[in-house]
Amino acid sequence: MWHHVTFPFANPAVVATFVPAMQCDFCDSKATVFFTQIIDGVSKKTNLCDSCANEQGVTDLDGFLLPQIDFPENEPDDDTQNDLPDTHSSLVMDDKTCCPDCGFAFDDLKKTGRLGCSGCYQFFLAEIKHNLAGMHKGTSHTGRVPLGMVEAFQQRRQLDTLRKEMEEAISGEDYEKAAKLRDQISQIEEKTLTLDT
Amino acid sequence: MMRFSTLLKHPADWMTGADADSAIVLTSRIRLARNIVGAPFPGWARKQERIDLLSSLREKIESLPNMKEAFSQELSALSSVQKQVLVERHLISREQAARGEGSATVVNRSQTLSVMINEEDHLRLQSIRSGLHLREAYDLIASVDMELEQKLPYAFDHELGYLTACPTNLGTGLRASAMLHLPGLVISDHIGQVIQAVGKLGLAVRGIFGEGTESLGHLFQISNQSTLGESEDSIINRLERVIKKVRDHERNARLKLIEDDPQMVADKIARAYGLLKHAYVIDSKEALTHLSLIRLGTDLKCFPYETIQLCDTLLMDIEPAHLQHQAGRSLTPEERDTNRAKIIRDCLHSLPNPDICFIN
Repeated sequence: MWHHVTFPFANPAVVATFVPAMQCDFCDSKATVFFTQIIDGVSKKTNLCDSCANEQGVTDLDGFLLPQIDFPENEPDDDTQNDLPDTHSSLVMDDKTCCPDCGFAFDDLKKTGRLGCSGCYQFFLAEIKHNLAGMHKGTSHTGRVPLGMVEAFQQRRQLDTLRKEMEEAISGEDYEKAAKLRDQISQIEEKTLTLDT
Repeated sequence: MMRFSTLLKHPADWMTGADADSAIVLTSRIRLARNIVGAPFPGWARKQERIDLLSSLREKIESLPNMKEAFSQELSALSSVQKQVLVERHLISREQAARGEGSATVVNRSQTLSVMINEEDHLRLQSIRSGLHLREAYDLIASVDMELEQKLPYAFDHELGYLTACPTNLGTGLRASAMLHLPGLVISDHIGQVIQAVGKLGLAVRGIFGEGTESLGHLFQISNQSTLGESEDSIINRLERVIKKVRDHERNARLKLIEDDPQMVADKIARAYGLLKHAYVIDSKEALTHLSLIRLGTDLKCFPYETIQLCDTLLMDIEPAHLQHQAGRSLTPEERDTNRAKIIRDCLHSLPNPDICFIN
């Protein structure tokens, strides 16, 4: 991955620009701290005055605790977040719809970007999945699995593969193979059921 | 149990640059986010729910073999300066410091492992090491995680991985980061390209910049952004590869600087030395900038090698809460600047004149 990247170590052209006294992005005081974050190659600049910088935690010496600042001007307004593609219109989620486990509302999720409990993930799954691709490398977990869940995890993966193979067999009109795969699938599913109970 | 005063009196090895290789990579950190099934996340739980969960979690954390004679502290029992001191030592997060009842931190004796209970997630396990040692930090934290998963029903989904309060932590729940000191790249004006290149690899680079192009303390943090769709090993390996590259670039930049313009480098280092040794009022930005140059000067063999440790200890001791904790009362910004200057003068008192060995 890295090898594709070269550092063009030529001196960048010097561009003289007139820089007016900057204002803090959070209040009207004079900005004294200039904070730049580069995430996924996109750089975000924020100007802050001393007291807002303290409040936002950017004066932390060691960036370990530097928060990702939400830029006031960049805050997405609710309208853009409501713009779910049409494929989602079948499951129109009302702002007041609440997680049955903890009472957390969809509206809260949009406002805070956080969820109420682990159960919320099942309930708001479609909405969350929709945003995952932009956030992460993939949309499916490939890391460690807690002990005791490993077997279940492997079975699930196996089932997924078998189902895919079965579909391929069907579309290729290889019904003999498809039937074999179907039997295999139901065998595993039965085993899982007995495990669950 | 370890007391607050004991904890403060003995900063961890990683806080004072004990690793032989910490001249460029100061520290490596791994953090895991974990939650308990069936309990609302701390940000949404009612106070009583938080308190109840805390007491059951805390007991399990404290009984871990790694947490023998640990420091275990409920946040609500600390003053705001005390909390801030823990933040400045990176033992708790700013977010946790803002929390009141129902939140606690447990730190092991050597302060290489800390567990925040009821921060943004029910559990945040963190391990920090001096130098570039992400793998070691991960190994420690993975062993703790494996012990805990036998006692606690973690919220886990086969598709989404470990379920976290914020979807940006889903999957592994792992954030790996390293703190780098990059004065060579900043002074030679190549830092922008490096940051851009690292950013393009899907990693985050954060730094604080002073006015114009001058940066504050020349300190930068590089961390992974994505936690889902990539295994723990792959996240750590990728980050480590990139950090090594940046470290090489920084090393080359330092060598090139003393080759191309040794007078300029000598001037910067010697002026920083003079200023820090003789200042009576110094704000934290100025102190940081000049301590960074002393740190660079140490790596260029102008000062005895232990000076790196001296710098890293100072970086911590001159932070606002540390100054106030030391003074035993709250200080105005002006008083802080005076106290800061005195601590630096005292600390550098016996530091010999810089030996500008790269000129002649």
